[in-house]
Amino acid sequence: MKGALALAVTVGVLLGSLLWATITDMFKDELRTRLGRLPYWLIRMASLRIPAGADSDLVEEWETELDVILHDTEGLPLTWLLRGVTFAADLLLRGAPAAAREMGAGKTANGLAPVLASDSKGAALPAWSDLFPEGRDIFYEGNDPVGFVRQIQSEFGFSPASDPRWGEHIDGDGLSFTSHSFYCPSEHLDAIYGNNRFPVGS
Amino acid sequence: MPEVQITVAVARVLREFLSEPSADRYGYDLMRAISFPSGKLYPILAKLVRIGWLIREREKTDQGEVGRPSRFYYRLSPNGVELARYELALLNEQLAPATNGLGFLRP
Repeated sequence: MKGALALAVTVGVLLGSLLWATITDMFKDELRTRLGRLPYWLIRMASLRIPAGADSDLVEEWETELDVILHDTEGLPLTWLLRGVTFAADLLLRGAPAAAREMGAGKTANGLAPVLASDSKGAALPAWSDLFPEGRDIFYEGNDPVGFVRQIQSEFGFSPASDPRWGEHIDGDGLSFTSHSFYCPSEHLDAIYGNNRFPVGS
Repeated sequence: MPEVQITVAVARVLREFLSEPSADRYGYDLMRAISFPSGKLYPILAKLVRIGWLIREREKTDQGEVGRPSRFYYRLSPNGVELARYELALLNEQLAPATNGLGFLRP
């Protein structure tokens, strides 16, 4: 009788241990999976802090960057979690609200925020004439200086070639070249220097 | 004048872009390069895109080839290069120590 009881207890303990181990493993798997999704969930939460309609590709960018951040941490679950949560939580707590403020700053009359749209570029740029009210020395770097002079002369009424530095020969250490520098009056800066028609640089 | 306040943080981002003005830069790469956390970097990028100093575009890659969705990259616009240089030079000038007109002594 005692032997049968001992056997039953032993079997019970073994079954209990097996059940406990299985549940513990399931719990670990559940926790691992949920923690694995945590960074992405945080980014989803961050997206809720951004004005509706403007967040789609910003969130997509953050998720893609998160993929890159986590890519080289496979097999390192704690590093994976730490990096992912740090990146995403900071976006949730600071990045998304600040980005939302930026979007607010870019709102147009119809209430839409063009922030991060590439067609918004240039909207708030200052004029070159404001930055250089006294005019500016600029360099011509194209392959047709004669044509450029002719174009400027006919369109703006002054000749870059009248500047003594135009066509100046520069001799350096084993390097010689012809420089085409000229003074551009302030009133023409935006039309010439800020104008992509001419291959002008500085 | 530009609709952006050139804070130290903005200046650091601009300086990083100006180190290679024509290079395409990604958010995570910038975070590592200037040691900014995501919550600090992305609002600055958003601001610089809004005022036109940065161009933001999606990279043109085939997801099947690279094994991940295409990322978004940032690059200085032509005007952004000039204005960033101008603003950083101005900031540098403002932060330079005042002199008595006699110049500096160096060992």
